Amino acid sequence: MLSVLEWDDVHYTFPGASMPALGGASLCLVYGQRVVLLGRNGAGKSTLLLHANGILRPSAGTVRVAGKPLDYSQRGLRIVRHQVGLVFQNPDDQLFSASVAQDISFGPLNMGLSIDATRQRVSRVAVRCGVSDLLDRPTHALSGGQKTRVALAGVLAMEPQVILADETTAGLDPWMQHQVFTIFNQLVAEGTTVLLATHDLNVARHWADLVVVMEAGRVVTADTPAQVFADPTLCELLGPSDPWGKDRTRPTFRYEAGQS
Amino acid sequence: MHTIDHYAYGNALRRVDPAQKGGLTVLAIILCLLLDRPTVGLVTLGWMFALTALWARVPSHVFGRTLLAEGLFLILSVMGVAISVSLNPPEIHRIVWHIGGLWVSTDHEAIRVAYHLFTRALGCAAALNFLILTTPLTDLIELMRRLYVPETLIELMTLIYRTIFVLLESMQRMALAQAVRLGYSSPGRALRSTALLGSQLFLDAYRRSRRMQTALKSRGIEGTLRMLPLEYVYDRRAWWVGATLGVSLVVVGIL
Repeated sequence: MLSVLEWDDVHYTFPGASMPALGGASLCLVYGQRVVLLGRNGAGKSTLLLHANGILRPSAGTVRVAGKPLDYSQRGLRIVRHQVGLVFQNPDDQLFSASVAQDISFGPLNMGLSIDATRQRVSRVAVRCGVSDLLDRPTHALSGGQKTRVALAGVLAMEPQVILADETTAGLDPWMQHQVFTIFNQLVAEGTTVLLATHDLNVARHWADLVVVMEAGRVVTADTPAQVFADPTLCELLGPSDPWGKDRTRPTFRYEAGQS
Repeated sequence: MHTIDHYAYGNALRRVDPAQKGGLTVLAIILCLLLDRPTVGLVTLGWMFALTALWARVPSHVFGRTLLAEGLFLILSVMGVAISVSLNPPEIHRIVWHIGGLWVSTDHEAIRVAYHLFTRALGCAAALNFLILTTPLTDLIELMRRLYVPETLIELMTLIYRTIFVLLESMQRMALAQAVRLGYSSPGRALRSTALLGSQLFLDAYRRSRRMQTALKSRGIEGTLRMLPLEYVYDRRAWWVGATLGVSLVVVGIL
């Protein structure tokens, strides 16, 4: 199968850090895949994603987009940032304009699209993300879920082949999550690959085609959910599926009415 | 600020081209300054109040309160023109009070000048109020872009306006987190908490700016913040309003 995005033995250490953030991470994604990236805090998930569109440059190893090694020249980066879209965890970090329409238009204009073509894209992508009625609203008047959808629209307006979403659904209520996943599913049906970095094991178990597990800057496994969750070592690594534990002991002392 | 922002985004003139609203404002300000008569200032105020309340349908108390705040500042500043304070008895002033060792004095001419200044400035402030209550900052920035204001300034304004709200939200969250842990339970603690809040907010702003830069890079920024020009409705009535406003001010100014 044709790979759309590939990390090949990628190493990276943040300036001033003693431990590498990525210590030989390798992963290959194909077109039209639902991918869930799991791993504990600090496992290197975000760092891996930042390598995919050339925000970070590996100290060793190669990143390939659509089979070609990433070109870090200005021209090369313009192409790769069009192909690989990154949606960040906190939409407030991404939305820079107080006008929703202007924020969404930013990516397409950077790609060199004309004003008319950009306008069409903005309205098309706004319909897809359900933010058409928000285009005139100021960004700071939006709710968390609305901001997330606008941030997503800003990336989708560039029509990337891969969407890398860094904990985008975290903190959203189930209805909002449903809306985001509906958009993801449409994208996958059209051949786009969607990767979601998350801590939600349920998403990995029930939504993903491919579950990727990272630990200490390396990809430990990339397999189907069935295979990953059948492996006791991996389950141990991912953490308990019931984080609340089994201890249901009743308190031995209770406040009675009237006590303060 | 939130109130002004709220009405700027949600008034009846929201979709009208900011150039038209800005033109009306500039016309009123220029006439107010050129004709330099108290009645012109007061008539401008009346006009702007009517335009904001009736045409843009912004509640009249919002206009009133904004103007009141500006009026209070104005009164404080024209006080210095109307009243002079000295250690020696004044020679020319006709109205004089002797309070303790100080001579506080004024005269009709000084009061006339102060009144002139006050009405003129209040008329201009009212005109600006019409603009800010009917036009959100995004539209004003767009207008400046059309007027060829340097790109760097436009970008700075865009980012600052957006981040004001992000930081405000961040500050409110931090202050709440401090308050629930009794951070403001005594004046001393409040002072320390405020100082901590300030420094943390600075760090927060720095981290956010780094993350925003990453996000902009990943969306292919190439030196400048390129944005879609916003679309507006061209309102013919604004011409008539402008003409009537101009004529009425000139008539009041000459008579």
